[in-house]
Amino acid sequence: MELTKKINYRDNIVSLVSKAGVYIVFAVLIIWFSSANKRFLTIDNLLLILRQAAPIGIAAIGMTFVMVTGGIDISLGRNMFFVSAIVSYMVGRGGMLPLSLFDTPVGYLLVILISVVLGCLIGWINGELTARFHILPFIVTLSVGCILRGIGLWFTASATPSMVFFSPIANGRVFGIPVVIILFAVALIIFDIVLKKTVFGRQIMAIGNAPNAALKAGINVRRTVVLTYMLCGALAAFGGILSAGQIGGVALSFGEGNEFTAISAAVIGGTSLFGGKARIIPGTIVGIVLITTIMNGLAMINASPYVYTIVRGLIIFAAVMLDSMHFKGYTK
Amino acid sequence: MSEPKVALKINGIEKSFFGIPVLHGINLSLNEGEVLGLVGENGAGKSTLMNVIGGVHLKDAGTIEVFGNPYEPVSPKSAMNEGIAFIHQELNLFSNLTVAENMFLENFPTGIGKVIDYKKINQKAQETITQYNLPVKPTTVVGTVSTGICQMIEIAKSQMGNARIMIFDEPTTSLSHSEKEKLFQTIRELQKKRISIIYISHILEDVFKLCDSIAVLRDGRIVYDDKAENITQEKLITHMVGREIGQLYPLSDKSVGDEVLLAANNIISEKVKNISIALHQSEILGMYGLIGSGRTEFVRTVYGLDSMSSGEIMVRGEKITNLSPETCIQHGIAFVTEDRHGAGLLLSKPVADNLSLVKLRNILKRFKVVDRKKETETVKDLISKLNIKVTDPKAQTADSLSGGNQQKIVFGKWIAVEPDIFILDEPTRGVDVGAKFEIYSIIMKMAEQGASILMISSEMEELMGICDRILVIKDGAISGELKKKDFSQEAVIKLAL
Repeated sequence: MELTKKINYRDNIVSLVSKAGVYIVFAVLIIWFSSANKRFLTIDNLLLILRQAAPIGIAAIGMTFVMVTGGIDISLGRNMFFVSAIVSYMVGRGGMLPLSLFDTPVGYLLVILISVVLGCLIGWINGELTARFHILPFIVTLSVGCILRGIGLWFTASATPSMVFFSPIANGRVFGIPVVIILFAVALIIFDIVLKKTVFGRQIMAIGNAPNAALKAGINVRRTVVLTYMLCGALAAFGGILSAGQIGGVALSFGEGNEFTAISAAVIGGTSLFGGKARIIPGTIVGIVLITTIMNGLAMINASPYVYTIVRGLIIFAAVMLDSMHFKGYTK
Repeated sequence: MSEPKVALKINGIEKSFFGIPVLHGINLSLNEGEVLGLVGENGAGKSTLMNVIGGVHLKDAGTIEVFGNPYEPVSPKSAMNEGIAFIHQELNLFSNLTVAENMFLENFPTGIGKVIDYKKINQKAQETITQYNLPVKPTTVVGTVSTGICQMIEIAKSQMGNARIMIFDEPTTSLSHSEKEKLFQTIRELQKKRISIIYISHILEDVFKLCDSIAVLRDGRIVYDDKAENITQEKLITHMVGREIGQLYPLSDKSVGDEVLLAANNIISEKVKNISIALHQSEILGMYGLIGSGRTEFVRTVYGLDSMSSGEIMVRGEKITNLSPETCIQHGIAFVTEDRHGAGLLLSKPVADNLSLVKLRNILKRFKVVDRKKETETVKDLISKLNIKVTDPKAQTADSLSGGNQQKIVFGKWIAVEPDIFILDEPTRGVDVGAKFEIYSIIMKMAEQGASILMISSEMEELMGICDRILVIKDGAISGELKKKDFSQEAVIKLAL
């Protein structure tokens, strides 16, 4: 009987770790970081963590939607770079949007509108190539990302164009609360409802669960899948300009690796890479805040900069491994 | 009595794929409240015909009428709008959604901003659940209930959509005995409500039990279409395969040897409570049990696929240490699974690659390079030995063949290495009548040549037809053993329930 117990034991650990593990890791890390550096557990620092988490968090919501259908968007980080590069060019070297526009809300709205439209366009290309031509989403979005990065670099002319004009939104506060946090919260609530309670949300869950059955159920699978990529593109673009605005410029390395942060945030939060399973609240929010907390904490304890990518890699690996162990689908 | 109304009338339907005609002018008529059995071998065109009616494939020629009105299917939605519902072999429910969500997926009632009116769908779903007496709640996630209940949910769902014509495609494949009885009862109730039904199945007993009339499809043509009482099962099979079949099971005068080739002693695992078996040389040992009885789990454990908590496996009196599929293969055990698609075949690979897969390590030249010549010979030999219908084994992929031929490939790749113990889990599932006989013959021949065979099946008749002995499994333990002379359906069922 011993072995049976062992099997149950292993299953129990897997389910416990995948359910509560994130919170346990969270608690341990917070204790560790706060004992190493007193400034870690201050309101200012916690707000900082949320502010850092917000832009990629918004993008991660988009990633979650794509992942529900069983897809993935590797172009997400490069989309952020590309869109920020384009708008910073339009305001700066291109001179298409004079700085005076930013005296009124018009300028900001225009920048957001342009970004979102560009993001939708990128998502549309990703989605159409994936859904219409049945190319693996991984390959499609990887190559689209490479192209975006190339065009973006061209527009930045390998300099670091300024995004300071967007700072009033990216770094602004309303009633003392950073605007990005409010935007993140609003996005979370809206898209949580979209996922859980709307026809679109239920349809993409169905597609992720059984694409052929979804087709037979009369769902326009292609259009719906394309829509998730467009949503992801738009949210990534919006997160991108917020992030660039926070930093104040579009550095050459801006956005690199953000797709993996977004994927791990979603997976940590309970979204499956195999599709058909997703949580935005508390899922994706917990995921992104956890990752940002770790990055923030590493800075606080003066960890070597090389450690960051190693830790990022380990987080992704752990999250994906748990997802696979939990997945009881076709592997058996 | 007035003439019954015609629910579905199909005239001269033609369909070709890539220039190869699959349906040649199909004519078929279904009366209101009638159950029509549609039978035919795999590849006869049943699925294509149903897909044409369902709007999945567009027809090339012909007309369809639904209650006298012309019907032009262009998408699955058109079928739905006409009140034609499909209950497929693989269920079309979404395991990650709730019962209510599944019921309303095609047509969610919504409020502001396309937000689903959950109160309404849960309430309406509850009404249907009560009406059909289903043991679920509207908010139950479908993935947590059994296949049989899922099917009932699908039927209930189609009735919510006021389906007037229902098409069942191999609905009993993954149902337990009692679930099957409940399904038949439901079908009869639907019939009372004047719903017209097309019932597609390989299990002819079921077709005779349920159907008013039977149509046989062969090579894209309807070769028989008449009342069920006007035909016998034997005649029906002749129509299906297009030739006389002398008997359903191959005869053999082989005798069971004394040597025990495979012994499993006191196997205990998660679903198996102490099972011991002894498999003799040249013996075909059948294993019958209802779904969930633990029979599949038992053989998976024997083959080292699932871990066991205690017990031992002996091959020719020698204990297998480090039990795993690899050590089993080394000891000459072959495992043919019911899941050809998942575990048995490389579907997208050519037939030749599949056939030589297990044999490869035995036909190496120097530097571990595969001997191409020997590989080709092996493949050719197997194809003729097993009568696999393939024209170019190096170009045709496994998934282009019919179910029966796919199963022969699975056998073939094992036969190539001449194992002496075979574990077969549902070897004829999804295989048509003609090919079944060939598979029985292969099994019988292997036994004649001295191999031992342990065979699991849900089809009692085939076990009684070819086995020397039948073990019945119930709740993870052996509930009885029947010798060939004691075989009867009643005896087996009694032990299984």
